[in-house]
Amino acid sequence: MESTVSPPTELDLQDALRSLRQKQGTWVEWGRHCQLLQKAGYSSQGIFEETGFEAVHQNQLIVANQVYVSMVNGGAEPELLTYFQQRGSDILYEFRILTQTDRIAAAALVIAKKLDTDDAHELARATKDFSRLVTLPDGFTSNPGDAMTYFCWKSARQQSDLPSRSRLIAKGLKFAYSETARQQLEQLLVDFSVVSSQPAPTLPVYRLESVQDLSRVLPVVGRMPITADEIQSVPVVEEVGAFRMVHFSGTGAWVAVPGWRIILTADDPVALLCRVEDLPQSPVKLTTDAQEEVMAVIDRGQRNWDAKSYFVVDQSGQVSFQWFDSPPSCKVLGQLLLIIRPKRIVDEDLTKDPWQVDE
Amino acid sequence: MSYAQTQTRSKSGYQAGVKDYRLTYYMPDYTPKDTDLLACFRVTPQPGVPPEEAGAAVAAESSTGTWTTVWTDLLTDMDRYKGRCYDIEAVPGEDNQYFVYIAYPLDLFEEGSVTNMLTSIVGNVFGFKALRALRLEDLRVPVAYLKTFQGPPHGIQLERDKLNKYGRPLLGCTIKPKLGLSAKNYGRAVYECLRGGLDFTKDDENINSQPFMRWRDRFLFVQEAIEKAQAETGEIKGHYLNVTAPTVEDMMKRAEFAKEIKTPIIMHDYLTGGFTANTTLARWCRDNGVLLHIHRAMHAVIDRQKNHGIHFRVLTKCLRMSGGDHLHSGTVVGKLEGEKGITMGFVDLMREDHVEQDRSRGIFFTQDWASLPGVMPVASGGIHVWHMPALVEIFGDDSCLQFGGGTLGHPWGNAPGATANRVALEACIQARNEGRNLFREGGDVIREACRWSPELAAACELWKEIKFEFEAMDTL
Repeated sequence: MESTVSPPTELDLQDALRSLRQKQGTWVEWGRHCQLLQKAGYSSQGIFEETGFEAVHQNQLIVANQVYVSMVNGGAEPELLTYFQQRGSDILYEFRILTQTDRIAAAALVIAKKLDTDDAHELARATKDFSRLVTLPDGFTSNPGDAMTYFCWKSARQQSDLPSRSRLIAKGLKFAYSETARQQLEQLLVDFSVVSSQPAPTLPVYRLESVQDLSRVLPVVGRMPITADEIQSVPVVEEVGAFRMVHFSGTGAWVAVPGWRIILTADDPVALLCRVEDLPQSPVKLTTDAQEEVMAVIDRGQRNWDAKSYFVVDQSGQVSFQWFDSPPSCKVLGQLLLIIRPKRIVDEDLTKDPWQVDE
Repeated sequence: MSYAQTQTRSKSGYQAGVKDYRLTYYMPDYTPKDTDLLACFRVTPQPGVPPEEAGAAVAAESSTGTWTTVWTDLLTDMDRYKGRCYDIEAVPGEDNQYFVYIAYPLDLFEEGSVTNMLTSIVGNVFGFKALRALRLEDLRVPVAYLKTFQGPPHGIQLERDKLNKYGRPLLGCTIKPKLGLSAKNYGRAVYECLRGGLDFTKDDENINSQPFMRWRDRFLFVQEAIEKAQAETGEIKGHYLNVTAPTVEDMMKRAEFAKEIKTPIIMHDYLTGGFTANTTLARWCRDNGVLLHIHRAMHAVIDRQKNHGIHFRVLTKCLRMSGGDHLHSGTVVGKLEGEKGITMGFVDLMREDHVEQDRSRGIFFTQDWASLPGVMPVASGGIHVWHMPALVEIFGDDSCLQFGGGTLGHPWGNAPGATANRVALEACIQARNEGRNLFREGGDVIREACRWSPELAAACELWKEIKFEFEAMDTL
């Protein structure tokens, strides 16, 4: 559009400068003149020195003029245009972020509600944010006044502090455009559900987050030395439900082991207690007190030999742990899954200290 | 309370031992005062630890509490100084997590010290074994405390006045490669970018004073580039000279030199450098009329985990209090809608004077900034000319858009890359001011500008057009 207009002559530019210097005409003309001069190559500093209009003011006038022109092109009411021709460049500047239609509606609201620049700033932001909603919220129209009311309504609903809530409701009512939006806000006046009372303690709910959160309960066969019959006589344990509940009858000992993957995937695990000296030769045996009691977890369901595992075998009626480089000739009672050693206590007081604090 | 700041309470006697925190620090009846500093923590207690006890423990350890009762508790009025856990709510959509609200009396904090505020609130409490995880989500800093801070050295409006640039976002570019250029080649790249139309160029965060380019050499070559570009374009230009240094004395020495050679803006890594150094530098910047750009290197270490650490909106507030004229905020472009809302929430916290509580944007408290100057958000990383309409729509005028690869990656060189960005920006601003909808017409605006700017056309050819989707998700 601009490209079809003939370039300004030196006389036009001098006229513009004089007009600005003498503050002739309305701000709309000042904005047009500033834009003309800047496009003609005048720096904002140069215009300031010639006319007294600061650079920041020039920018406001130019942008507000562009907004005003877009409102003219958008078919705004003559009364609206007349009103803003005389005043309100600061308000129209705030509306630069709005679309043509919203600018006209917001400008009309400014007149109807007698809004100032700060109100216009908030109104523009609310209208912009509102335009990004996929659907109109129930009871609110697309008018900028309702947009502002919506955000006040939304904030008020989140407020449990009554004075803050009242302030937001009052602010929303000031901007409300439609009767339905006003009603939405008025409903909050009689809704006291947000007023806090003495709260009951929080129900102690905990959602299990990993399989390890739940232990697996294992029957304990006994302490070494143990016979093969003793291992085989422990009944198979069945776990039921999400909490892996176990039914049992008779007597016997049980132990809970963390729900590590190797434990959970075992077919028929049992535990037995032994001492380090009962274990096959290994670095652990060399560096540990031979009398330290440990717990061996055995899977009775795994009795097929492989060279990567240790097995519990029947040697003349007695149980022992063995490794074989070829299939064994003795009877395999189960695979050794894990040997669990008791937690090492370095500093007993440490376990009583609930903090890791650098004081 | 008597006029004395402390008082002895002997009537109740001393009872040694470890007490439940909730007996002292959980106060659901408490109504926070306007002068209280409020904090919202996301707490994940260990199984079996009641949230009330967890919340009270956080309140205790971040204020007056110790793990056991001590004799000296009786020598002061604990009720005056203790933090109070006044509200607890389950985190929507999450298991085992609670938002815990704590009110701290103003007297717990030294005036004007972000360092002290953070040491008090998050200093020790993250080591509490009864918690599996803990995250500081938000703070409400009372006006009474804010008034003890200087804040940003200049703020957005004064920066614009100093630069004489209005009505559009500022344009910047980080010089790449981030390490290894000599000072002379570095200065050359700066000159080309500034001459092409950018307002600022920037040191990368880890450019300090390495063997390949010592700080003094960099400063001199860069300043020469700035002056040359200013003379050719008639605009005020700048380069964020990174003054981050091993010691505060070295940092100040670099800042003094930057002022001596009349550079307009310097830069600091506020998290790795620390809040004490940053506050010192910000005060110096105001006294000496030098703008201060802030980089957030290391922030992801602190803010990335959803259930542990400190949310960036808190780090943003801390920076506004400590002082800085610019702060990196992320680009928003390409993020999910929820993340966009959260990012724009802390962008508002950088530059608005009053921000209402809005949980859908992660703002837990209404924050009044008491006229503390605003911080300009810096959107940087992975953006190019096709993103310009989206960036203008989302960030508005008061922002700094940094196109690193989007400038230096231009097929014709640095200066044409800069020109392409400047043309794209001004076309978007013009279109927006005329009332066009950049959400819908942004691509058309860029294509129209390509007709008269070959530099922009070449950039548009190289990088692909993005589809600008801003689908809102209203989550109350």
